[in-house]
Amino acid sequence: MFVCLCHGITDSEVKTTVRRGATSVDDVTEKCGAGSGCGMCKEQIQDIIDDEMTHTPLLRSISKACSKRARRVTSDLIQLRGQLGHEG
Amino acid sequence: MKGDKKVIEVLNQVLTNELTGINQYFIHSKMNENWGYTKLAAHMRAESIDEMKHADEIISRILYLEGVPNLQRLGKVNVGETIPEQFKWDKGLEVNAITDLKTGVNVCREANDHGTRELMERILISEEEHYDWIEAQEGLIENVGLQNYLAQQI
Repeated sequence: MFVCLCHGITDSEVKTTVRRGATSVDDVTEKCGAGSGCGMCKEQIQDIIDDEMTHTPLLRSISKACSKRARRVTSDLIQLRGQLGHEG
Repeated sequence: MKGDKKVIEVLNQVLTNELTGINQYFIHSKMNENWGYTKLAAHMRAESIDEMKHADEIISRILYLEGVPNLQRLGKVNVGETIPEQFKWDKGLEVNAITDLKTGVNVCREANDHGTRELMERILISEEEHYDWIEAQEGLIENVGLQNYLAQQI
């Protein structure tokens, strides 16, 4: 489905962005543009992030618990996972 | 006539659902037209116009009750990339509309506003018909297969 109608961005594009390391709505907006128009889709983008993160519970708990620097490391791990094409 | 505040609030919520529905059905109709599924396009266009007729009645009612109809507020328009996805999101839209209308009927009954209650009940039946149509299409896709179903929509 189209998540961001302002820029015609689909849910699969947002998922790919998350898998490549985006961990917040602002991150997703910066990387693929989704959410930078009217902002109506921000909630949905957050849902997608949450859903993607649930598939990597360990990474999510690290991300939540740690400092900004550690979060960047987590983001790198998620990105690596995306590059390797791992689901879990 | 001065209306009950809660009734006006729920009417505005129903109006938001209708305005969202007008847009969502309309974009789905235009996408189907573009893909060449003219029968589906015509049906979805009619659904969109139905929602507009509902909005028309709701706006008149809010004005009659001396409230302010909120035409600014719009829900999230969920656009499906495929026909089954479009049905899924249209069904979601109807579920929201039906839930709010049922709440609305109760609010009107409590406020003793039977005119608005009658209007909401009428719209509720119409939304249930929309929901039923989508369910029937999903059943058909399951029974005859997507390709066979789509072949009938050209």
